[in-house]
This record gives sequence, structure tokens and C-alpha cells, in this order.
Amino acid sequence: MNFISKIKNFKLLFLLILIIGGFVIFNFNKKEIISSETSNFRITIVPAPQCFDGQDNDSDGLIDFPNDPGCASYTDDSESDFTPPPSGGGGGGGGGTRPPETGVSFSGRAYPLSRVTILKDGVVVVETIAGQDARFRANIGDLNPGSYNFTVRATDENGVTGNPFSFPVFISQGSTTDVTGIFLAPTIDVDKAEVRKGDDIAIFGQTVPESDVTIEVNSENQFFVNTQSDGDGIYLYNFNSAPLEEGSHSARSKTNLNTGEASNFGKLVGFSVGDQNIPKVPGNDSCRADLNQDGKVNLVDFSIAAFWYNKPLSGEITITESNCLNADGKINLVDFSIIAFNWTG
Amino acid sequence: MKYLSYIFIFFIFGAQISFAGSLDIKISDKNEVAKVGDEILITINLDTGEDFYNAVQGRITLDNIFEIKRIITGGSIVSAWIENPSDTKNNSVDFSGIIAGGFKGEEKLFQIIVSPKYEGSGNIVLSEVSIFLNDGNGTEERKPETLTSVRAVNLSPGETNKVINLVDKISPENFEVTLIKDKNIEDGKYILIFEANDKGSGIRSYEIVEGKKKFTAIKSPYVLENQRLNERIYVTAIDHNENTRTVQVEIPGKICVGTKCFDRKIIISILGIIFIASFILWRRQSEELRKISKTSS
Repeated sequence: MNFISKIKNFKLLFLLILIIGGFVIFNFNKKEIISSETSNFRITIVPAPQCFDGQDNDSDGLIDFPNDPGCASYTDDSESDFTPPPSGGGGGGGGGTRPPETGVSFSGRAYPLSRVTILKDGVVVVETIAGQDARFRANIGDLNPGSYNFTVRATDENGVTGNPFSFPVFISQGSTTDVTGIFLAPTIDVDKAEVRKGDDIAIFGQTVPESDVTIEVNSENQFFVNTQSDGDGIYLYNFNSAPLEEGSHSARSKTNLNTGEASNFGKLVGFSVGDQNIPKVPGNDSCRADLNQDGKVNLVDFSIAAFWYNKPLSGEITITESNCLNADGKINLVDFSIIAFNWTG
Repeated sequence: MKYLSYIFIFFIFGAQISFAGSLDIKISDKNEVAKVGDEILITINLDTGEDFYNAVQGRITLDNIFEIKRIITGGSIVSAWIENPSDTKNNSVDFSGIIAGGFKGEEKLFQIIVSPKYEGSGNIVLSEVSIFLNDGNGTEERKPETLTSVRAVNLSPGETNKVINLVDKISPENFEVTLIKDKNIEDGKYILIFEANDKGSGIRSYEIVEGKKKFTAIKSPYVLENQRLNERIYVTAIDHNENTRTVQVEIPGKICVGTKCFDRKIIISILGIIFIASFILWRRQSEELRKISKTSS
């Protein structure tokens, strides 16, 4: 009896090990996902006035101004039958002759004087310049009702683009949507492609001025170091490579403000530790997903890839695929995913 | 055998922990028995969980009991289709597309309106599904096949069929048509690249008019018939409710007059020659006038 219960216990233990093993293995294999949620990101929707919302609010079979007699104008917020103001009042009225604009406004923090680009469903729709305090604001009007996937990204003064921030928004007719608290993660770069073990590697980028920046250096053990950005939002940290083992490493950074707001970690920048110092050549990785090498990743690159989708590659595209995509000698959904990740619009 | 089942549990459990994103099928009036001839709306949704995804592919196979009435891509989260489900000609709907910049949340990919042709039960199978993480490496997550059943009975006397009315009076959004010539595509010929968006019924087709030729149905990428680029080009996007949006293609270095387009350099040269000639003529005329006035005085 005791022996049988031991066997049962063994089975349970075996099952437990398998489940824990499954959890550990699958989660170790899981890749780093770009998350772009910021600490006080908020979407506020001001609904359309009843007389311009496309709905029969008073169930009289008539919808909106000027079809519903209960509506005095497009901006009237009641479709119920119009009651004239008591006599003696007079005046007032006017306005609402034009339908309210369906639009979205975006505000948040990028990098001082950086170029902020907003994409609507992958197409560039607005570009603006952030202020010296890194704050930006932009509006998009005249939108059709429906679901949109917006992406906000910024390019710093060195031409380095930070992690884009994407979010879906449903826009209803006549509503105004306010997207606030966008906090773009810092840009990041390094001065060396390879650093001699024991030497310093400069990790730098741009973020909100006078803010705390946390830099994470990935190796067998993770290292976290802190620095501060200056009045122009520039931060720099000379990281000593002595504790890093030889081989490939990466670093990324995030910003923390005194107000408690924080960005997420930004893009990873790679470097290696070896026996010599090799400076990083700017623009060496610019071909990534840019199949026609025009400096943009957009519908043109998508179309080139789509032309060769699941076809045997020949001619120039063989070299292009090898240099700019995953170099597996074919174009499939993996390559399209790389294009979508690097999309600039 | 039991150990095998443990190993199976190990994989299922591990997979469920790791892979948060999923594709699923939602059916209108799921709890009701459909009537033969009713229109049923099937929505294919992407639910990403806590991760960002940027590409998706799969296949929907419908039993023969169903007739596909319409496929709606309007309002889809997909930015550009590689295999557009609207192109389906039979009961097997292949789809693949990308979401530029990645997406996190729950949103529809597309919808299918089907109608049962006869009484019975039919399956809708979602298979060969892969979704790709927005991690820059194209990390693929394969999803298991899912099956949804719909039962249909004949209409009772006096009953009428359910019809799905999609009101869409809004034209497709303004879109850009890019004229390019690239060695990697169509042997370096001039091609047009375009993708319009329609939040209502979705884009049904595109048409082109080159110069005085008639409107012709096209798809992106489109190799221009006239490689000399000396004719004005218009592309029209048409949605499923016949709303249209037409854009003129900008031809770099050309000036268009009427239906014809001319090289800007040639136009400028001709205008320059005309200007110089008229200047010379004016100078000659004024000199002659001066001579006449001198001789007369």
C-alpha cells in the first residue's frame, strides 16, 4: 500500500516537474516584446452631440440635424422636440451650422525639438516638432468613423528614431478623441560596434530634459545604471565593459520623471565585447527591411516583397533579401513581419 | 501511455502560458438556429492579449452547405493584405496581411456573410493560423485548428429571411498612388503601388484610366501599359457599396495638359525659346522704330 502511494507521489512529482519545466522552457524561449504602454497614457472620448451622432436618440424615426426637427443645429445635444425659449429672452442662437469635425488630438513627451511623426493605419498623416521641453501636440481631423491603429514615433537630433508607440482607437461620427500622456521611450546608441574588454563603451541618446535615465545592459547578469539627461535631453553614460563576458550584448534605456511618470524601455542597441575597439559606423544597419533603399519602409517595400512572396528568388532580390531581410533565401510571412516592425510609412 | 498524456499536458500547458495571442471566429446569433437563406455574419477576430503582433495568416474553410455572399474587409486592423480574403472564389478563404507598426488589443480582421443553402449542420474551420510577434525577428506562433458549427433549418410558413444590411455611404479614404521603377520588381518597369482604406464595406476593386483609354480593373502592383509616361493617369478605389475615390497619379518631371503629359524640361525649353525669340523680335522692332524716328527727324 505504502509502495503504491509512493508510486502515485512519483507520478504527481513527475507531472509537477513537467508542468514547471513547460512553464520555464516556453517562457525562456519567449522573445522580448516591444511594449509601449506609458504610465499615464489616457484616451478620452468626447461623444458627438446627439444631433450629429448618426443615431435616432429620441426614437422618432428621424436622425440628426437637419432631418430631425428636434435638432436646432449640428451641435445641439438633444434630438427631442425643439422647445422655443420663453418669450422675452431673444438673441442667442447661431452656431452649429457646420457639422462638428471628427478628429483625434495627440499629446505627450518625445525629445526636445525632435520630429514627431504620426501614422494612421501605417500611413504618415502628421509631422510636428516637439518643444524644447520635449512636449508635443498634434491633431488629425476629418476622419471617417471606424477603427484606426495609430503609431507615434520621434527622431532625435542625431537622426536616431526611438521605439514607436502604437495603439488602436475607435472613432465614432462627430466625436473628439483626446490621446494624452504619450511618453516615448528614449533613443539609444553606442559609440562602438565592438569594445575591448575592460574599456568603456559610451551609451547615449535623447529623452526629456533633466530626467533620470535607467540603462539596462544585458549579459549573463543584467546591469542597471542610472544617469541624468541635460537641458537638451541628452544623456551619456560611459559603461565599463570589464564585468561583461566576451560576445554579443545589448542595452536599452527608460526615463523616469520626478512626477512619477515613466516611459517604457526603448529599443535595444547591440554591441560586442572582444579584444579590440571598433567604432560604430552610423547608418550601417539602414537597409533593414528597406528593400528599395530609399530610407523608408512603406508600401513600396511591402509590394516588392509581395511580388516575390512564396516564389523562387532570382536576380537582385536574392542579394536584397540577404542584406535587408532574414537571409533565408525566400520571402514569406516572417519577412513581412520584419517589414511591419520597421515600418516608417 | 499515461506518461505520454503527461507530456501532452506539458506541451498544452506550456503553450497556453507562452502564447497569449489568438484568432477566433464569432458568429452573429450564435445561440439561434439559422434558417435556410438567412444571412449569417462571421467575424474573424485577432485578440493579442498582452503582446504586440504585426502579421497574420490563416485559412477559413466553409462546408458546402454555406454560400459566401460577401467578404468585408472594411474597418480591418490589417494595414496591407498579401492574400486579400475578398479575392476568394470558393469556400476556402485564404488570408495573410500585416499590421504596420504592430497592434495590441482585440480587433476584427475581416467578416464573411454566408447563407445556408439547405437544411443541416455545417462546419466553419479556421486552420493554418500563424501570428507573428512585433519583435523585429518575425517570431511565428502557430495556432491550433478551431471548428465552429452552425445548424440550419427550413423557414417556417410566414417567416422571412434575415438579411444583413450594411449601410455605407462614405467614400474610401484618400490614398496615395506611388509610381516607381525598381530593379527588384517587374524587370524594372514603371509600376503603380497603392492601397486604399475604407472603414465601411471595404475596398472591392481598383480601376485605372491611362490617357483616353477606358477604365480597367487593376491590382497593386500594376505595370503601366504606357511606359513613356506621357498620359495623365487616374486610379479609382471602389468599395463594396459602389462609393468611389479617385486620385491622380503624380508623374515626376512631367506637366500634364488635358490627357497628355509632357516632359517639364522640354516645356521649359520651349517656353525659354519663345521668350528669347520674342525678346529679340521686340528689340529689333524697337531699333527699327528708333531708326525711323531718327530719319524722320
